[in-house]
Amino acid sequence: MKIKAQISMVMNLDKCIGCHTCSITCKNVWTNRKGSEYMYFNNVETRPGLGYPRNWEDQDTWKGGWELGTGEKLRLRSGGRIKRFLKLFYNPEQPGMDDYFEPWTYDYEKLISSGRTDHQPVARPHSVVTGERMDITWGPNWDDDLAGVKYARQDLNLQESNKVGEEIKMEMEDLFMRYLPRICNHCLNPACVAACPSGAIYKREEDGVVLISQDTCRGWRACVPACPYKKIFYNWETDKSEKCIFCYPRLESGLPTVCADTCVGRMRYMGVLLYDADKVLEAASVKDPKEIWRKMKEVIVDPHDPEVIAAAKAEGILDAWILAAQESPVYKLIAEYNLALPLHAEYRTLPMVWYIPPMSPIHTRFAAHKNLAQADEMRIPVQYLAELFSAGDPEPVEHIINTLVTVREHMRAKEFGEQAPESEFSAVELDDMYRLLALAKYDERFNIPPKAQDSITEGHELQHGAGLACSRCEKGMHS
Amino acid sequence: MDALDIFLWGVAPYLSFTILIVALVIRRLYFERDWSAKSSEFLDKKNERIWTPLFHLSLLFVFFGHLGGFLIPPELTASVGITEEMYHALALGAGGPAGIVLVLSTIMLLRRRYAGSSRMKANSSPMDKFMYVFLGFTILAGLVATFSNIDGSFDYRVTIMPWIRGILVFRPDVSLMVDIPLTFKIHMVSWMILFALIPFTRLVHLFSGITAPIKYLVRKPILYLKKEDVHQG
Repeated sequence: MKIKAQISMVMNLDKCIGCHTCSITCKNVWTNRKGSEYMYFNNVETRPGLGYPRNWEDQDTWKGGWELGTGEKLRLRSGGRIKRFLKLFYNPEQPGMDDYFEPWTYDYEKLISSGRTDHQPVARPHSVVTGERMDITWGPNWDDDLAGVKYARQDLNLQESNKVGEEIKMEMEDLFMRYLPRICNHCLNPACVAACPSGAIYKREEDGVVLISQDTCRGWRACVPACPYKKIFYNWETDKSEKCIFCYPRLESGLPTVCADTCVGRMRYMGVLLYDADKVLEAASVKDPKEIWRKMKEVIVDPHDPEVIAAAKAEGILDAWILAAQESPVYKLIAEYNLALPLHAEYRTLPMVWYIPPMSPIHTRFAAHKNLAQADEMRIPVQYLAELFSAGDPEPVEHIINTLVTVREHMRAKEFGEQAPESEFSAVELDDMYRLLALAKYDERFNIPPKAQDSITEGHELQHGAGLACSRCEKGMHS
Repeated sequence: MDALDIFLWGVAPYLSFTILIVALVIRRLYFERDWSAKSSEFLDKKNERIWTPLFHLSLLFVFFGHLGGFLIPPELTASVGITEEMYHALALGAGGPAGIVLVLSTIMLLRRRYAGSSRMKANSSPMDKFMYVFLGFTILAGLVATFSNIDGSFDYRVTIMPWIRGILVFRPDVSLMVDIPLTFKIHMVSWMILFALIPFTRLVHLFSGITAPIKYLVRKPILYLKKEDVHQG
């Protein structure tokens, strides 16, 4: 047993209203520089839809993540080492700018500098890459809120659902949609780290945050296609790769990420998970893709177990972190209440951002004669959610949605003095779930322990470091 | 043999290599954040697909051909029964087509960069332009020199090659280079300038291209680093 700590996130999709506040605050803090205009470390996509970059889930094209090769041995989907080195010159699986969008701005200057004309002056768009006038034909969230329903029909999960006989046609009366916010998953088995020829991408020992060293990155860009979630971006100005840094300077100060902190719907939860690093490879190599998320739960260990605590201490994990793991809202939602699932676990990277699948408006056909419907009567087909969260297995999604319904029934029964619903959870637990999911108080949905790395004084010394590591700043220079 | 000859064939090579090594070390130590292959695939995929791999592979082929050429002295090839005629035919037969592919792909890539998608402007610096002049010149002069010497009347194996070996052991024989044809002289001067330019341009990625595969083959797939390890570089 080799215990490591991981800062993790759970997103409660029921409460996402698609306001994009997370994307905007993230962008303002991290990707407002030249070369990074097109990057959204955090994006919110409407599902069904193509997502960002377009059709990122199509691994036949992008070859992201891992697969089981000969002898059921785990290997990168993009091929063996030699094959991948031959792609250094030209990588057919690397998305180009048009797969995201060409960033643009408007000639606002025109509005005030224009001379007297017969017509209202117009601020026309121009590309920030070339500086030339451009026609905007695609942009971030072009298919937001099902805009242009043809894009929704191209959703790969929809097509997969239809293959197993679900017949989701997206007809007017059956239309459905939900928002899916996405950031880097800070995976336990990150394909980007394994693909980097320079060894510039690493997982931080202390908190599991996956980072790219801007010093050692050589711009080979193998990580871009290797990440199945397409959450590594090539900066066309600095010619190096960048990614979501989980707002690590904030984490080190005991604060949640910007996207989580500013979430209007209070739908993000953050906390510590302890996991057994020795079990990672085994979980990523499970043959049946439907079983991977279950194995992931075995990789995450019980922070109350005395054996785990002893092993964690032996690894040098601080008491404050073990305590935070025991009181982690994320551990509660994933392991104790079994409410969350990882996104596309079948990519075998063991993502550490988990999702509570959404309940949805009750389908009209059932609404007439029931107060609360069960999972299979919901407007969003369970099979569609299952393609996103459990490799096409509807059972876990159904189970979670039914638990969420039970919480509502429980609260309704309390309010009206009705018979309490039958449940695998006690009344106390259901109350706790209600509190955590519905009220989601700041102190309860976030539990970030003080930083594990250095003394507080050093933090002050690094204050002018702009959050980016400097390889030549001597450690302890002033102390 | 005049002062210019002594400078070109006795001093300039050392100037070139000194600038190359010193500037490379300085850039690696103090300006590593700018060290990148400066890939433009993200901006324009279309014209890169065929010509970039062709350019790199033919360049590697030509480079190793040169390397083999000046490391193997005529005595060695003669001792295994390869005559001068056979050697020349082999060098021309293998190097010639590779050189043609190299020149063609260089032209196509320069066309892509300077006459293709306007996005490529974002990936092209003034320094690039300066460097491409000497890169193109070196390649073109090499090809012209090779094909102007199809009959093999000029034997570079007893002039240029021993001179280069002399440079490597710090005993350059300037007299060997005085009477070589002009095209070969241009090729020589051009590569010396190009080598000195390497540390100041995107060409630094060729050294990463050597170290990266070696480091990659020996490292573990998943890298864990402590924060303090990163800070200490």
